[in-house]
This record gives sequence, structure tokens and C-alpha cells, in this order.
Amino acid sequence: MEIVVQILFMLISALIIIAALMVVSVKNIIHAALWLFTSFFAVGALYLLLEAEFVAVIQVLVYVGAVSILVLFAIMLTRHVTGEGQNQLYSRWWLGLILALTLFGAIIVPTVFKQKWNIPAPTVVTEPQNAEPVVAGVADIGKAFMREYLLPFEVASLVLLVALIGAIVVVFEERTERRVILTLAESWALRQKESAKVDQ
Amino acid sequence: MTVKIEIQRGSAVPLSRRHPKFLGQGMLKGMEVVLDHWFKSFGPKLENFSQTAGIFTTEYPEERLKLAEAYRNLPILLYDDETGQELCTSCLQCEKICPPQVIHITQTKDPSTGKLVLAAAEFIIEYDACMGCGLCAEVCPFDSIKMDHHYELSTADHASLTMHKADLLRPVSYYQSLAPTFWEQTKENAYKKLQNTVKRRSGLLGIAPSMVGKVQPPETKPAE
Amino acid sequence: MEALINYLLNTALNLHAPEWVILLIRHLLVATILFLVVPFQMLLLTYFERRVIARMQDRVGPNRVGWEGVLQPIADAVKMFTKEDIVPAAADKGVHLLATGVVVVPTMFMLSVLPWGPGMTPVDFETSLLFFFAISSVSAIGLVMGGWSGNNKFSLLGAMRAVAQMISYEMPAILSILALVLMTGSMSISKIVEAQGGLIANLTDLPKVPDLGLGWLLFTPVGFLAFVCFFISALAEGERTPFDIPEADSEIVAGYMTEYSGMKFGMFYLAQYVLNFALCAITATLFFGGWQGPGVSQLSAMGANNQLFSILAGALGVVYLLLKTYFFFFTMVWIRGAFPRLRIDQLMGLGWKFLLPLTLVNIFSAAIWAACIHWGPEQGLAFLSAFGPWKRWAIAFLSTLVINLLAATLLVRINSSAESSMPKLVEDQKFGAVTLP
Ligand code: SF4
Ligand code: SF4
Repeated sequence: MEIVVQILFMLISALIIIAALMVVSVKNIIHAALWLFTSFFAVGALYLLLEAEFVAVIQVLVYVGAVSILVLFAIMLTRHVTGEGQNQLYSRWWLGLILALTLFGAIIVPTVFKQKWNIPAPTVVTEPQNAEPVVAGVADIGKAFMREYLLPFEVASLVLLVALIGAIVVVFEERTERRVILTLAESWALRQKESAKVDQ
Repeated sequence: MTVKIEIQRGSAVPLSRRHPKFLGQGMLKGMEVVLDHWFKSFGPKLENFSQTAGIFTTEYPEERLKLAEAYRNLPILLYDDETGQELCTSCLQCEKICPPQVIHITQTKDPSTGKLVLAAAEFIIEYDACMGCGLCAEVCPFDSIKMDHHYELSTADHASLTMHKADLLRPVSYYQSLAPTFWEQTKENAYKKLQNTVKRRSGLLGIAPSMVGKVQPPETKPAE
Repeated sequence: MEALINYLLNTALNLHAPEWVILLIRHLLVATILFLVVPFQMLLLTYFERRVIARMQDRVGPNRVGWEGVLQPIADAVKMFTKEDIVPAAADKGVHLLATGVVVVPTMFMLSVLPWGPGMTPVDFETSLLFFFAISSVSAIGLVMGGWSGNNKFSLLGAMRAVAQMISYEMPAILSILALVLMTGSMSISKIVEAQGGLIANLTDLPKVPDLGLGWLLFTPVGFLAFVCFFISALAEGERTPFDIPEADSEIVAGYMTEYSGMKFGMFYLAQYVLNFALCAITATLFFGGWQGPGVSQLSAMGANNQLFSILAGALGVVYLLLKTYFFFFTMVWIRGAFPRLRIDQLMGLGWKFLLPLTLVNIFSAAIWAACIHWGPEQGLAFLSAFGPWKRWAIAFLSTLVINLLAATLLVRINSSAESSMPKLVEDQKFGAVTLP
């Protein structure tokens, strides 16, 4: 059974890496977006492999179902989708490379050198026969959100609220400037109402 | 209260409906109407067009609508039931008027004298190109060519749609069954003309091929 | 099922198959059954819909192929298979092909978590309800892929519309089922079904009611409101007629399916009907008790002694579920026969201004319901435990009824007044030029 899980893990991770590489290397933006969803989906599968069903389902629901759709939407509204013949690389790509490497190094170097590398040989954990299986269930996540991590949770929701209001403000038109195409009956009712106002 | 609104494309009349008592009343009403039709569709069929609920489909191969007398599909030729004499005199009127020119007539010559006889030796109508306009039937002075009611002519064989005289000939009684009142109106005239024609025919000339042998050829020789 | 396979392999054939082999065989078997049943159901549904809608419009419908036309869908399938597959020259071929798969596969997944009968859930896990909706939203990507790759403005428009509609109606759908999750305390579809035994009130709320399998969630105020919201959203998600804007054939040919032909078009068609079937089935499952019905629980209780009875219980459960599902499909067709298509702004207005607030209020009432029924001194509501279960149930029923009624009337008021206070007529308006008396 462990072997099966190992093989599955390898396959899924390979898929994630390949998909992620394709995202940055294909020229057609739509194809890049589609590869992005592939990697999202594979990440969901990875969660499932970790028996974190809830997180996996949410990953699919939010990233595959909603975020990716919005990405596609935004891309389809832009003109030049295919981007054939354009150079993939910025002319000073080495600058970006250095920056990326520095950031990556800044993360990886301390991690590697601070870690004590005497990993003990994996011991087979024998769970007691009638122990409750430890699964990150929905209830646990809910409790964690509502007790230990209440403040970050609320702050995050506040950020989302601000983003919502901002979006509304950006696209809001003044009510008087709004053009509405009325049906005949609607405009007739409107006139009726206006003339009633004049009569009074 | 109704008000007429004039617009460029015509006029519209907004009707004031009763104010709905609760939300979705109109929608429920609509659904009720649809369900009502559904139930009634299992009941008896519609008999006339004043009824509104019930199935009105005529299931074609088994059931057919009654065709009107003036219905026309493609032309046929007539011959007299008793004597077998064709009404056509090969006057070529129909060939001339036919818009797509699908009628081809060969006139008959008396084999002994070599003179023309008032009968068609061959009468071809290309059914595949005939458009059913009925002009040939209108123009025929001898009431010989009439429009048929038979419409199931589809075939996989294109050549079979070139109809020869033998395929086109029908007895007068057939046409009479299709359009009794029309035949009643023209009957007298048609027979009078036929008698005149027959006087100028001889032997088996002008007798429908299917009737040859069943009828006596006319005794009278054309007066020469 | 595992027991049966285990018996066959290990006892009868003496193969010493490990556990995972048995599981694998079991899942393969169930998947095969589902894949056999689903296209068959789809064929049946197309026939059913065409006959029913025909009768609603005073016609007969297809009745020539086979007895009363039952073989018509098979004739259609043969036609689909033998048609030429045309791909537009300027299409993105790979995406064009992939889109069909991305649309069809999630709908098949949806059926795998449905409880078909007592103990007959193909894949049963804790968050199956959420999984159902998560996986259904994946097919939206397929729609976008199909719409975009065809390189046709109609299919692109259709895809845009489909996605806008799907996203905005997924919210009320998920929020309305969230109320059920609160009430039953579980996200597993099979547990929600099991909780619906009883008569009017269900067994988890009132343990003493007779178990006739009629304790449907529909009979509670929360469940009723959730049902109404959910069914409207399901119509929108399944792109059924008042909400068939994405494939409005009188406006944009066939929406995202415009550039598909032959079997690829057939796949889209299949996905649509399977989705409709799944939505009807989930409606029946969540609100109308799924396989619950008079006699099922008694039979399965008898099944403890005799295997035959539990098989009977399973069969009865499947029959109940299919009956309810077909009833909802009939309702969908009925609605299709009755109403014209909505305008897109009406659609968005209905979703965001009416259904969404209503479902939010409904979640609040569901919380009250859960508190009234299940909470006690632990949560600081010690006074509730002074009442008996009947009283607690009555309190929950009345309070949620009042809240939901108030919310519904208020929202109707607000929405209808918003409609009547129309903005001012702009002088240079192009289309509304009218001369009035
Ligand atoms: S069918 Fe009539 S019009 Fe035509 S050739 Fe014969 S007699 Fe003349
Ligand atoms: S019906 Fe019209 S087209 Fe046909 S043969 Fe007569 S004249 Fe010609």
C-alpha cells in the first residue's frame, strides 16, 4: 500500500512540476492558463493523498472552479491571445534570474543549514486498534478558525470586504448617468408616473 | 384600462393586469395552464380548430387530412371510361404555356394517309422539373389535362420521374372522384368536344393503351 | 459488496488477495455499473423530455422508432456517431478536443457520491456534499475551453454567458445547502439522507416519531426555503429553460456548442443531460429524502437476519430515488414548457439581489434551528434543556418560520420597489423612442 502511495505521489508531483513549467514557457496565454488549472487540480489530488479531503475539495472549488474561470475570463477579454512570434524573454532576463535566485537562496539557505540532518530511520507507528483516526476534518478546521486563529481570520475577511467595496467603487456609475434601455411598457409606466407627478 | 402606444413599427397595447395577490401568482397560473394541456393531451383528439386543448397532430401515413378539391399536385391526362378515348387532341397549348417547358408532345399521324390525327402519339411530362403551377390544366381547351391529388411520388430512381403517356393516363371517373363539382361544371363541354374529336379519329388511334382490346374501336371513318 | 468479493476471491477461489485488491475490484465494478447506467439514463431522459414537452404543447412527440418511439434516442445516438466530425480550420484543435472531456468527466464524478439506496453510495466520504458542487464547477472550464477554441464569436459569447451564470448561481446553491449542513451536522450526503427518516419531523430532531421515511428536510421552514432557492439555482446551473441564456438558440446559435458536430456535440449533450439528472437526483436526495420512503428502513432492519430483505430494501430505495428524480425532471420540463427565457440582467438581479440574501438569512435560521434542537448547557443555553424534545422542535419550527417569512416578504418588497423606481429616461435613448397619447 505504501508503495502505491509513493508512486502516486511521484506521479502527481511530476504533473505539478511539469504543468508549472508549462505555465511559464508556453506562448499562448490561454494554454498557459489551462496548464495552471492542471497544476491546481494536481495540488488538489496531492491534498487528497494526504487524506485532507476538505482542503482538497476546497482547492477544487475555489482554485479550479472560481479563480481559474476568472483568469480565463480576464484573458479572453484581452486582444492578443496567442502571442505567437513574440519573444518570451525580457531583454534583461539575467537581472530577473539573479533576483529570483537571490530570493530562493534567502529562503533555502537558512532552511538547509539550520536543519539538523540526522533524520531517524522511519519507525512504523503502530496505532492502538481502537484509536480514532486523526483526520483533519471540517469540524477541526472550523474550531481552529473560530478559536485559535480568530484574529487572522477576521482580518482576512476584512481585507476581502475592502477588496469588494473597492471593486464596486471602481465600476460604479452614477445613477443619473446610467443608460437603461426600457421596454415599451416600462417607458410607458415611467411617463405615466412622471405625468402624475406634474399633475399634483 | 388599455392605452395604445404608437411607435414607428406599429402599435403596442399594454394591458393592465390585476395586481397579483402574492409573489409568483402569474407564474403559477402559467404552470397550471401548461399542466392542463398536458393532461388534456391524453384525452380525445381535437375535432375542429375552435378547440384549444388536446392533440391536433395528424399522424401522417395512417391518418390523412382531406384534401380540398382545388388542391393540385402534378398533371395527369384523362380518357373516357367507356370508349377509352383520350380527351387530348395534341393541340400543343399546354406544351407552349408550360413555364419550365417540361411537356413534350408528339402528334399522331395516320399510318395510311400520313395526315395528322387529333390524338397524341406520345405525351411526356418531366415530373422532376414540373413545378405544379397548373397552367397546363388552365389552358387546355379540351379539359384533357388535370391536376392530380396524389403526392407520394418520392423515388430513388430519377429516370422514373419522366412520365410517358401510359403513366399519365387516368379514367375520367378518377378525376371525378377527386373534384366532383369541378367536373360537373365542365363535363358537358368536355364530352361535346370529345365527340367532335372522336369523329375525326380512326381505328385504335387515340385510345388509351390500357383500354385497347377492351373496347370496340369506333365505326365511323373520318369523312374525307 | 466487499464481503461478496472477499468471499469469491479468498474463500471460493483461495487466492489470498490483499485488501486493496478487493477495494480496487469493488471500485472498478461500481464504476463500470455507473458508466453503463449513465448514458442509458441520458438516452431515457432525452426521450422523456421530448415526449413530455410535446404533450404540453399539444403535440405527440417522437413515437415512430420502436414501441411509442422508445428507440428514438438510440437512433439519434447512431446518427451522432456516424456524422462527420468537423473542426473549424482556425480552431485550436487540441483545446477543442479536450474541452469535451473536461465537460463530461466531472458530471460522471458527480454521480459517484450519490447514495442510490441504503448503504449504496459508490464513494462515501465526509465532505461528499461539497465535493459534488466543487466537481460540478470544473465543467465550467470545459465550457470556456470549448467556447474559446472554436474561434467563433457565438461560441465565445455562449461560453461567457455560461460562466457568468454558473459563477453567480453557484453561490446561492452552495449557501442554501449549507443550511442543511448546519441542520444535520454533516457534510456527507449519505448521512443527510439517513437523517431524513421519520414522519414530518425527522428522527434526529425527534427520536420518537414513527419511522416512515418521510422526515424530509422539505417539511421544515429552513429546508423549504433552501429547496426553493436551490431548485432555482439548479435550473440555472443545468442551463434549463428559463435560464438557458448560454445556449439561447434564437440568439447565439447554440452557444458554446456552436462549433461542435458529430460525437463531440453528442458529448456536450450527454454532459448536459447527466448534469440535469445529477441535479434532480441531488434535489431529491437532499430535500425529499433520497431513498427514504415508507418501508425501506423496516426492510433493512429485517435484513439483519436475512440477506434477501436488505437486497429488497436496496431495490425499494433505488426505486424511490428514481421516482423522485424523474418527478423533478418532469418539473424541469414543465417549467421549460411554461416560461420564456430570462434577460441576462433579470437573471443576475434574481441571483444576486434576491436568492443570495435569502439564502444568507436561511443560514441564520438554520443556526437557530440547530441551536434549538441540539444545544444545551455545554454551549451556555441551559434553559433549553428544561424543555422536552417536542417543545424544542416546536420552538425551532415557529421561530425559523417567522424569520424566513419576514425575510422573504421583505426581499420581495425591496426587489419590487427597486424595479418600479426606474431611472430617468435619457433623451437621446436609441431604442425607447415612443410617442405617447
Ligand atoms: S393536354 Fe390539352 S392542351 Fe395539352 S395538347 Fe392535349 S388537348 Fe392540347
Ligand atoms: S403544372 Fe405547370 S410546370 Fe407542370 S407541366 Fe403543367 S404547366 Fe408545366
